[in-house]
Amino acid sequence: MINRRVPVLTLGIMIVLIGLHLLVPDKTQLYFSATEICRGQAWRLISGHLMHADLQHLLWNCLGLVVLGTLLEYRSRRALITSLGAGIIFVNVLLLTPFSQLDYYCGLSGVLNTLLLVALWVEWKLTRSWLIIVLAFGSIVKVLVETSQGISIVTDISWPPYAWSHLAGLSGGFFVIYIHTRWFQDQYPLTH
Amino acid sequence: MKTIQSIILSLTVLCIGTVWSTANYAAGLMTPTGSNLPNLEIRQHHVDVVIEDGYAVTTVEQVFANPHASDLEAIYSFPVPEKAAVGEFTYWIDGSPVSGEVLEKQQAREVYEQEKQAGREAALTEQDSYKTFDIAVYPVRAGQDVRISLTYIQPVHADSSIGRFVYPLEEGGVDEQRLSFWTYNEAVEEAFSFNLSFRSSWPIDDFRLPQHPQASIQQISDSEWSVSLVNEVMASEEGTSTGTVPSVVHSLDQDIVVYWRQAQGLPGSVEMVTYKENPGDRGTFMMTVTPGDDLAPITNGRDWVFILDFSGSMEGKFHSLVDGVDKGLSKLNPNDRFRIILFNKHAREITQGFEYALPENVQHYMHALESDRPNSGTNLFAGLNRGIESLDSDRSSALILVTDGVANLGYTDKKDFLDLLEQTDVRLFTFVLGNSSNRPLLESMARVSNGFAMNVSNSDDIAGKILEATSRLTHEAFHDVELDISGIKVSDLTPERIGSLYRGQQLIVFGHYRGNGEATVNIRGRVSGKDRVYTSTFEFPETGTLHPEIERLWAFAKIEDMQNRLDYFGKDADTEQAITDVAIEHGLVTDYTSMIVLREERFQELGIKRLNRSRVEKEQLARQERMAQGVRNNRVDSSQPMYKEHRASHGNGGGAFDHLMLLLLLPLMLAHLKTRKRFS
Repeated sequence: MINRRVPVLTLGIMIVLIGLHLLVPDKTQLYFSATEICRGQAWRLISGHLMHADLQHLLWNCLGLVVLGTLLEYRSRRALITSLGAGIIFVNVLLLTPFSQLDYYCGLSGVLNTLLLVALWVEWKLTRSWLIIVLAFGSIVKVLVETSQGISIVTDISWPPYAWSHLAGLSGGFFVIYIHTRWFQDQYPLTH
Repeated sequence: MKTIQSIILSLTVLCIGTVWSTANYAAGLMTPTGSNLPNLEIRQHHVDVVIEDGYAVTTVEQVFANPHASDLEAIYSFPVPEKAAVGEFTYWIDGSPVSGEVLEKQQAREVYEQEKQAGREAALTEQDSYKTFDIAVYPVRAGQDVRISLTYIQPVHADSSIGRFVYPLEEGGVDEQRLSFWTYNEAVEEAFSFNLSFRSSWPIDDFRLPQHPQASIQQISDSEWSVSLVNEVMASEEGTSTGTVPSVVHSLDQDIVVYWRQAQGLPGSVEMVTYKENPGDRGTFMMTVTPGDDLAPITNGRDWVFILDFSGSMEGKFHSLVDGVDKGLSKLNPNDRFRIILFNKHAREITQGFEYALPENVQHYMHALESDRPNSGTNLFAGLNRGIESLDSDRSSALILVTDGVANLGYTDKKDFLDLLEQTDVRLFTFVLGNSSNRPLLESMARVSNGFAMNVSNSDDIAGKILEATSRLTHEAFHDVELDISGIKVSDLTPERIGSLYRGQQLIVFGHYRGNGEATVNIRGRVSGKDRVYTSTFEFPETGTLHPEIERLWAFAKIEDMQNRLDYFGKDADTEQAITDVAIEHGLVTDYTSMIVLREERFQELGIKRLNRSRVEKEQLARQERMAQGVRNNRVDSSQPMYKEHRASHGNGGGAFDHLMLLLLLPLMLAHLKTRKRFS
């Protein structure tokens, strides 16, 4: 039985992203900042992923969210929520380590990489199509190249690219897949 | 350290917010207020900027039109761009361009008036201190138009790997007498364009115009970029738009700020360009030092004294200022202390001595600030003095001065301010709002105290300015910096006193040299009380003809040094004459010299030598030659790098899904739809 529900969660998150970008006058209060978080500004753990540096940054991430969020929510809203949660945790862990050395971080793209990997996995389980394998391979190679070179292949936003967050997001995706396969596959099937 | 970050962050927000709320005045044609003189029109305004080899050449070409029945004089005024050396002024007479010559200011004015009285064509560019450049053109014939162009050059910085160029247009609105006397017409009626060409051997990641998202930004090659803003009339002429032509195609009321971001991980470096026509001549060099990122973060706490402008020009901006201070104070650690001092015609402290930054204290003083309205004149000295008196010598302290204006009450001489700061061991950080603040005074004060002055335009990117200020104040600084060059005869180094370098700041030094060959360059200074020296050895070339402009840049920097000396030691006829001589020799518009254009034969008749014309021709040829060549790598310390570390860059980042990722998602979406169809 296919679940035909409207992707309300995806649309809701998108409205929040756009609303925050347009309505918040001082965005620096919401960017991810490890030092401010250590001083008690815990909201930045979430809000940093919802803020964007400029319109182009917002636009591309919204498009990514619409595609991946709709796809995943269609299969299972629980899968979407789990992926969002895992993505946020993995990217946060990276940003909170001294390794990241960033004063500020913003954008949903790190988390979107978690959604991407989980969505690919769900579709592969359904179709067993080689195309999905190619897509997964392409996505991972792209992120690895960007991370190793410290560049963004196509993106052109006003902040310097930080590809490590994409790698952290992918790691979150692998984590969700592993946990689900290992323990929850029968209890909460993601595919129908 | 986070305390410092928070304060600077909030103050920068405040500064930019404050400037935003005041952008009421602009560059434009001036007509005396209340007079019966009809208005002239700005028909066209075209700006061409070329940035390469460490400096920018900006050419502004304008057409003024007179739709009325009698001949009129056009007077155009615009804010003085930062460190801009105006050396080229052209007036089209009988359809042919005639370039200007520099004379002593009074003499140039007399010649202009004389020509005007005689009904002959004349144009004059004068500098009104740090405030404006004023261009007068006579006559704009009835029913006709005139064309003029002005070229200025200025060094270009890339601090913390972010370059910034400002084309200033907004008038700060602090000179009330001037504003009440003149009415400004800032409307461009027919065509406006802003074109910037950028060439650099350092890889650039991105360009950005925060307040002009409609700008077209193109990467032409790995080392060349272009930025373009073109109005509706221009676009439709080129067939790219079919839009209707508005009556005003552009208003000259907003600064154009352009940023570029260098790739991360570039090395600290020394670059040099030179000009020397013949082996036996005296050569000129411009050395740009980009330090490595080796200054450690500051970890100890401080006392903060906020000195806030409360004069009449802050009316309408003060609420933004209070918001900013509120945000800054609310982020202090409870162990940090603050004082707040307001100044207008007097200075007064609203705190009761140093207060700990507890929420109830902050709330109390914010209420006190909000209950007042700014008024009266600007006694900056009183504010600064009160701030210095309030310092506690047992604790590390800093003064943060926020002002948009000009000291016009009490002590107003630059020397008085510099004396005051030299007597005290405290760093002064000034936020200079808008284009009409007394920038030379504020910059000198910051330099004397080993602090820094940060210019903030309405069009600046808030996040960028925050990062810049935060980056500087959260790290140790390189103090008492000195440059010495051995192995070659070097003279006339400028700036004479370098002062301090903060994290990410570049150092630009001009000077003369004789001969050629290898030289050892040492940059010495102190970091946290310990001596530090950076060294490299490189070649000064025998000849170099590509950059004649750096002679003018050297002269401009030298004049700045002499002006600083004058301000400090008081009026001195010899120094004033020296400034005039250097300005005339190098064809520069200054407070002591102006540039005049006459009919070609009148130059001869009046015995005015065409010195600047040959300099202009030389520069124009060099520009053509540079454009014809590929992009040059001016780094001179490659074989013996002066710095081990990479240059500083801002520690922020973000990532975005992009075209490629969405392209990858397309097959995924199709596969998904296919399975949906199959299962439904």
